Amino acid sequence: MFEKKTRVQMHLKDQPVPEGEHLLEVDDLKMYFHTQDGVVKAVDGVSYTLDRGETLGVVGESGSGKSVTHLTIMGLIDMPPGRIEGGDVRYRGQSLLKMSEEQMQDIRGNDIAMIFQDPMTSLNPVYTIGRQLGEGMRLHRGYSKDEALKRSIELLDMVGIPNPEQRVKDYPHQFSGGMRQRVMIAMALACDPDILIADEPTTALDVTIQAQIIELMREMQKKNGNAIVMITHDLGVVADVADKIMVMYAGHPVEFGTADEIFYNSTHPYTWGLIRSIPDPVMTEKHPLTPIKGNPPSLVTLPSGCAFSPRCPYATDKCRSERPGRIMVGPNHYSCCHYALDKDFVTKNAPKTSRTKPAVKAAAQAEKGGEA
Amino acid sequence: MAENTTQTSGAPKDENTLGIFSAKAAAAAVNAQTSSRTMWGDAWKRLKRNKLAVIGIIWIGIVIVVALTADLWVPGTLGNPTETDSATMAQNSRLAPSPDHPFGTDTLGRDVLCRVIYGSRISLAVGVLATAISTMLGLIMGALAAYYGGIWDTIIMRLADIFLAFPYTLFVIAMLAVIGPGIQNVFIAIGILGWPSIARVFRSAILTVKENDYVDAARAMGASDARIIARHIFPNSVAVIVVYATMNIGSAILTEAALSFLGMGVQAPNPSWGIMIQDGATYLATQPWLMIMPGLAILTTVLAFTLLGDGLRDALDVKMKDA
Repeated sequence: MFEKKTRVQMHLKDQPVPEGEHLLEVDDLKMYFHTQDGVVKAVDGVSYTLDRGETLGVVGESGSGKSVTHLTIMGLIDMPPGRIEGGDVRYRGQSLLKMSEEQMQDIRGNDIAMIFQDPMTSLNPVYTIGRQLGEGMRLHRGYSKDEALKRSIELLDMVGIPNPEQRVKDYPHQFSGGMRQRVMIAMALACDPDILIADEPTTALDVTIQAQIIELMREMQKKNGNAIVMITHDLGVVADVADKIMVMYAGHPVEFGTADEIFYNSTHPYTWGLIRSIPDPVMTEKHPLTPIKGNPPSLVTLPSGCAFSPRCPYATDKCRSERPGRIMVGPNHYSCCHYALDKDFVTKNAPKTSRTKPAVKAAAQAEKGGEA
Repeated sequence: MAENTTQTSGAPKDENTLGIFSAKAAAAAVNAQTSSRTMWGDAWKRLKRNKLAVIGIIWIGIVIVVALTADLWVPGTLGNPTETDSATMAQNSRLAPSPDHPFGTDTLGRDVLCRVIYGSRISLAVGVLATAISTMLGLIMGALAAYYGGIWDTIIMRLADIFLAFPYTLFVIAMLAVIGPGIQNVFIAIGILGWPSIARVFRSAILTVKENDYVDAARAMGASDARIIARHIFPNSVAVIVVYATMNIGSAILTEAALSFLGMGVQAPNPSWGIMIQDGATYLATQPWLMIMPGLAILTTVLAFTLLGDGLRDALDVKMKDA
C-alpha cells in the first residue's frame, strides 16, 4: 500500500544487519572546519558502535563536538566550511559518507531520525501539528494526506498528547514546550527509524518535564527496538538510560565505557569533573557541588599534550607535553589519561560519591544486567 | 474536561503536567472549533477585524469594479474620455461640477469623472503589472542571493546597491528616455527598476527563515532542497512579500502619475491621473476641480493600498492569532 510513491525500492532498515557489522559504526571520524581563523578540529577521531535497542549517551560540555559528530553522521554539515578529514560512518555496513545527497535524504528521517534541542523553534509555525507530523510519512512512505493525518493522531496519542483528534489541527504556538518536544519525538518516530539521535532533547525544557520526555523515549525504544544516541551535557540525564557512555572533550572521546563503568569505575579526571557536577539531593556543606574550573579550549589552538591538562587539577608535566592515547581499562572501557591504570591515583582522586553508590543500587543493577 | 478522559489512555506519568495544561488545552479546543485551520483563512479573519484595512479593501474593490465595468456604462452617461466634440467644446469647456458632470469638465469639454474612471484603469494596470514584474525579478534575485550565497550573493546584492544608489524617479525617467515613453514602457521601466528593494526584503526574509531550527529539522527528516524552499522557507517569508508587494502597488501608481505629470509616461489624450493633474495645474486658482479630482483619486487609491498592506502585515503574523 505504501510502496506506490516510495522513491527508493531498497530500504536499508528492512534488511538484516550484515554479519560482523553493527547497526551503526563510527570509525575514527574526523570533521574539521576550515575557517579564517584556522582549522577547527570539531570532531577529531570519534569511534563507537551501536546496535539495535542500545542507548549511547554522549556527554560533554558545549563545544566538545557532540552535536557536530552526529550532524556529520546525518550529513547535515555544510561543506565547506566543514570537511571530513578521515574515518568512516557505516550504517548496516554501508558507508553513509559515500552516499549521494539523494540517498541520504532517504536515510534521514526514515532510518536515522533526529530530535533537536529547542522544541520551541523546531516546528514550522505556519503548519498545523498534523501536517508536520505527516510530512515524513508522506515523504518516505508515500502516505496520502488522510493516511498521514490518521497516523499522526495515533502518534500524538502514543506520545501522550491528550485529545489528539483536536490537537492535530492546532498550530505549534498553541502547544507548550514539553508538548512540542513530545511532538518532535512523535515526528522522529513516525517512520520507525533504526536510530534516534536526540540532541540535548531536554535542555530547553522544565526540569519537571525532562524526566517525562526521557521516560517517553525509553518507552518508545522498548516498543520499537530502535537505538538511541542521547547527546547531553548533563551526565545525570543519561545516568539511568544509557547502556554505553562516551565522554567527549575538545572533539575527542576521552573516556568510553558502559554506564556503570563510567559512573563507578571512571578513570579520567574530566569524567570525574562531570560526575562531581551532578547536583545531589543530599548535597551538604561537606559534599558541595564542584564545578570544573575554566573553559573548554579553543579548537583551533589546542593545548599541547592532553587537551584537558590546563583544567585538570592533577596534570603533570607529562600531561602537558604528551597527548595520551587510548588506554584500555576494561574489555570495552578505555580512557585517554596517562594515569588511567594507576590504581592509587584513581582511588585517591575519583569522586567518592560514585564509589559508594553501587551498594545502594546493586539490586537495580542486577535487574538491569539480567534484562540485557 | 475532555482531556481528563484521554489522559489515562495517553501517558500515565502525565497527571501533573496535564493538570496545568488542561485550561490552555480547553481554550485551544474551543478555538479549534471556531477557526478555519489554514494560514490564509486565519489571516482573513484577522484582517476583517482591522477597520482601516477593511476600508482599504472596500475602496480598492470599488475602484477595480468601476475600472473593469467602465466600458459598459460610462460612455453612455459621461461620454468618451479621449475624444472631443469640436462643435460643443467651447460651451462645455471647464464647467464647474454639476449633476450632469459631477467632477466638472476639462478644457476640451471632456467629463472629468469619466477621465478619472478611465485613468483608474491605467493606474491599476501599472500598479499591478509593474509590481508583478518587479516582484518576480526580486524574488528570483533574492532567492538566488540568499539560498546559494557566496559569489551569487555578492554580485546580486552589489548590483541591487548600485540600482538603489540612483534616485529612483530619475532612473525611471532616464530609462524611459532610452526606450521611449508610452504605457508599455512605463510598466517595464517601473517593473524592472523596482526589483532591488524586493530582492533585498526577500533575501533577508529567506536568510532569517533559513536559520530556523525547523529548516534543520526538515533536512534531518530527509526533505530535499526544493521541498525545503517550497514548503518551509517560502510560506514563512511569503507574508513579507505580500505586504511589500501590496504597498509597492501604491508607490508604482504614484510613480506612474509622476511620470505622466512630467510628460514621460502615458501620453495624451490617454486619461492618466498624472496627465490630468498636469493639465489642471494651470487652472488651480480658477477651476481647482481639474486638479483636485484626479489628485483625490491618486490619494485615496494609494492610501487604500497602504492601509491594506498594513493590515496584511498584522494579519499574516501567525503569532498574533489569539490576540
